[in-house]
Amino acid sequence: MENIIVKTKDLKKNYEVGTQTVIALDGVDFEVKEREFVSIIGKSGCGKSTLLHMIGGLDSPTAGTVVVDGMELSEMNPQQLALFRRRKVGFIFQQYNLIPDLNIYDNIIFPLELDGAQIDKEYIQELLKTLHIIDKTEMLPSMLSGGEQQRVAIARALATKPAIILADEPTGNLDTSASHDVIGLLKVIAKKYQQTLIVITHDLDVAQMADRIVRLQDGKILKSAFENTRISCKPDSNKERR
Amino acid sequence: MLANNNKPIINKLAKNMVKTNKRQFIILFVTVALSAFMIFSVFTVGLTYLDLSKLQNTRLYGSEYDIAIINGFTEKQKKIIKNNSEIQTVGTQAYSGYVKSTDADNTVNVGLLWGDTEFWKIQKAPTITAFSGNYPQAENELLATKEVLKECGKSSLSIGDSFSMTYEDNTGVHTKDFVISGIWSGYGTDKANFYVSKDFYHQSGYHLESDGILMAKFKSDYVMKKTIEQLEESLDLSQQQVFQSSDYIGKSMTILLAVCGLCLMICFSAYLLVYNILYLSVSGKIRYYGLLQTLGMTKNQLVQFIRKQMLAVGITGIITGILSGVITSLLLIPYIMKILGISLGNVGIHFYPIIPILSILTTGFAFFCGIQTPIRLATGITPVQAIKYRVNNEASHGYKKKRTSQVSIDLYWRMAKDQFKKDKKKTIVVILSLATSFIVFYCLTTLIDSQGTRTVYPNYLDADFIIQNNTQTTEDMASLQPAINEKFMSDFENTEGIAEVHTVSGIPVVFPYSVNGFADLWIKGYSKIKPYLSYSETVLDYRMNPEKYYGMVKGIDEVEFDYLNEALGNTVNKQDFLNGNTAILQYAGFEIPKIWLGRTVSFTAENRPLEITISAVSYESYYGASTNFGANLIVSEDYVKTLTEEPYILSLTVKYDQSYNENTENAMKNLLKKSSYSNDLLYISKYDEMKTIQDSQGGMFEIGTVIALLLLLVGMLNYINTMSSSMQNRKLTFSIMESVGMSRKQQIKLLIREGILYAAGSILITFTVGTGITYLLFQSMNYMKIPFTIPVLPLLYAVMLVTIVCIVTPVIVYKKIIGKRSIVERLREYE
Repeated sequence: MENIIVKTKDLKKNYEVGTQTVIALDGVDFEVKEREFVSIIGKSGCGKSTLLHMIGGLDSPTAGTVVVDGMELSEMNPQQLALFRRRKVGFIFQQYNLIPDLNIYDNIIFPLELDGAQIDKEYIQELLKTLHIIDKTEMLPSMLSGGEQQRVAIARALATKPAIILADEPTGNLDTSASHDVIGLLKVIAKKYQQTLIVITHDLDVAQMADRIVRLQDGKILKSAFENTRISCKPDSNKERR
Repeated sequence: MLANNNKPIINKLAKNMVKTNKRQFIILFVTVALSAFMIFSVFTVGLTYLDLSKLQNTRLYGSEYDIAIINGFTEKQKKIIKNNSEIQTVGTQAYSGYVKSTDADNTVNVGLLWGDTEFWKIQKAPTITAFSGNYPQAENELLATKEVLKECGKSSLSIGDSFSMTYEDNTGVHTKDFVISGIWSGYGTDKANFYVSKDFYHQSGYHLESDGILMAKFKSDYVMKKTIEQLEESLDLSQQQVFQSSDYIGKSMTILLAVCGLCLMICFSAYLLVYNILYLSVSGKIRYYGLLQTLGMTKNQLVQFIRKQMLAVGITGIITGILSGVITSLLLIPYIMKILGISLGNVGIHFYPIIPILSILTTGFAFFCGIQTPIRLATGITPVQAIKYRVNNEASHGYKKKRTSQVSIDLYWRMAKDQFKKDKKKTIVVILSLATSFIVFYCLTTLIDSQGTRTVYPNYLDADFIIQNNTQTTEDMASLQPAINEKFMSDFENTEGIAEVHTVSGIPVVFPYSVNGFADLWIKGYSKIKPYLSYSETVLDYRMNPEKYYGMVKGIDEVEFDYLNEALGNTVNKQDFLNGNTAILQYAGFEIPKIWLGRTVSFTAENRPLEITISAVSYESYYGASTNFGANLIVSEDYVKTLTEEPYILSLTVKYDQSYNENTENAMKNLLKKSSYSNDLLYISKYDEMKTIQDSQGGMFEIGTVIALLLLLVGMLNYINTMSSSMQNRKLTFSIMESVGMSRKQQIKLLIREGILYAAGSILITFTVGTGITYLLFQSMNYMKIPFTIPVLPLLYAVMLVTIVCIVTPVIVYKKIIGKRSIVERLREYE
């Protein structure tokens, strides 16, 4: 039986906007199995990104718990959270969020360098080739197109071989063809390296590429979420995973 | 084309922008006000400093003059100087004799001087701190100081009291009663003399043509060397006359140039500060300006719009800064100085009307220049570029960075270096601004630190302390007492902190008279310089009482010989001198014919007839510091020991382990106090001379330090400003880095390294370029030719301060911009 890698229990998040309190998450109970590909869908402001940020340790919950790979995030201090993000999670943002001062190669290996880890050059070369950015390594992010920048963001997210890849609208700034390419690539790589993939998207076509679709509405998970049987994401036990 | 009345909308926009961006504009306003305030303060304090330097010179010289003719002057020469359009005042001072004794002290050595009205009322006035009574009018009146009365043993006397004294002038030796008409205190070597009346001077037998000193002051404080040379040439001076220009006026143009250079650096520093803050302010709003262009605002309208906002902030900032400066310089600084107990003597910080004008012009100019580039930046960008504009990316266009795959290089250093090189212009501006302020601090502290030593004249042998046996009288050979005796010497040797002692030991000798012999040469010489002495009568008296005209043989050690011989151009054979075969004759104020060099002189010491060969004539006054009538022969100390077992110790030249050491100095003075001959032991102390100079500086040190610190503050403010803005612009980068796993600790490590790079850059420039500039500036003001020394301690403190500020600023700003907000909230700001 596959293990649960992400588990949230009664997860709540409120934001103070002026004098008003906005409830972003309202008691979310959510589980993701190891090597599963889950897409989260829902209208703008339903709490998708907030949920992803909570799982990724970017934000702290108002109430409830988030357990990732056996670790309770709310019990971690900022230093431990930074280590968690660096080693366990790979983030892909809609705005790419590449570091403008570093070239493509340095952007990709940045989390590894932060860890003082030995850089697996072969693996990085493989990533660059797979993502078709091998010839862009010396360029700065501002010199690339949106699709290219998103592929760099994917490479950066995968560089540390994390257990979970969290992608927040990774195709939001891309056209349909590029969107399918990016998600396809993500899926292939996640499968290859036995990683868990959680993707937030508006695009139902993209969502349907996942093993499971979760719908959020007003900070709650709708019961009508369904298992996608058309596309499966079977684990490949021969591949090593960090 | 008809003009479009778009002023109201532009004004409204500008007003709204200032209102909605209050915080930013407050920062800009404070920066401009601070720059204006700094410039105002630097100018005020700088001018006060210059005034004080001039005052220090005046106090040291004892009167306010730039040039002097010594050894007499003619009426014609006085007229030429008076008629010179560059000259402001012309005063006269003249030697009128000296006091030999009073009924309280028979070894008095005090001069009598006369000064004319212009000298006393105008040139002398700035050096007088207290004056009561009147300048002498009657022939028997004297103007005294407390010091001179003490020297005469008459400390208790005051105005109106009279006393009897024996004095010598050009008409002979007289004993008379004198009345004290006034008492003054202040600065100058003339404190050790009495001033006499015009009537006294006229009957003293001295003449302005041969003994007068003419002193003149230029109208301007800065005079070309050529002007001084031309004036000297126009005077047609005789061989005997000496033309002297003060050390200050001789170097005045160089000093002026140095001061202008310093001002330029200050202005440059202020310009960098204003430029930087304006640039950062405009570049932070490029997106907004792009939006305005998108909505149809023309470039001209945009320029007007930016100018209006900037001018409003600039003008109010400058006015506020200047007003604060006026209040501070007139009220606050004197008040703080009073609280801290810092004395400015009789000179405080003045309000100079030119300074507000100068400050407005300088800050205004800096502001005007500073605004140009940001406006070009705002208007030179297309609306589309503006929308995409992000300050971080600006330097990245077309930038292709080489891959850095060496993991071994510390990641933080690499990133810090990248950041440092990213916006080269900004980096250069910040480093230059820091370095400029630091260099000015370096220059000023070097000059202030060396002020005392740079202006103190070295003593003989560059001694720290000189003790002289002053028990001699002119005519009594037996008057010499062992004032520096064995007990004194043993106490003296046990004093801590003494590095070297050189003694001058000696005994009285008598030179037998023979026609055209050595004694005859001496009598002829003296009768020339003392016209009241009749040659024939003196010869007669000499033959009868030769011991009345006794001379001295003074023994010196090898070190002193080497020093003296160097001054003589190494003309004396050392071995001959040390073996006691030759002696050096001391100059006594009249010419000694060359034929006497190499000739043998006969004399009797301790009743033994002796002979010695004269090898040279020394013009060094140190060995002539005794009151005997006869010749002084400088010989080796071993030779003196062959003449007597117990020679008199005439003087001691002492060098300390550490010059100006207060403990050693006090120990020396206590030793003198305890001696039973304390009244007959004179001393010259380098420490006291230094203190006199410091005293005459009247708060120069404190004021100089205030300027130096103010300037350092300007540079640091610029750094703080730039770093704050730059950190604001990097907010997104920090959030991204944090989101991919860079901990805050790691980000702080990176920022510390960036700070170190800025500090190191500015320190490097300061210690290379700055040392060069400081050296040149130092030498241009070094009229005492002292060696260039770096004030290590103040610089070390400054280096520490700059490094701490450079490191701490980005860290504090980082913590402030991160606050308690989560990464998500910070990232959302840019979505």
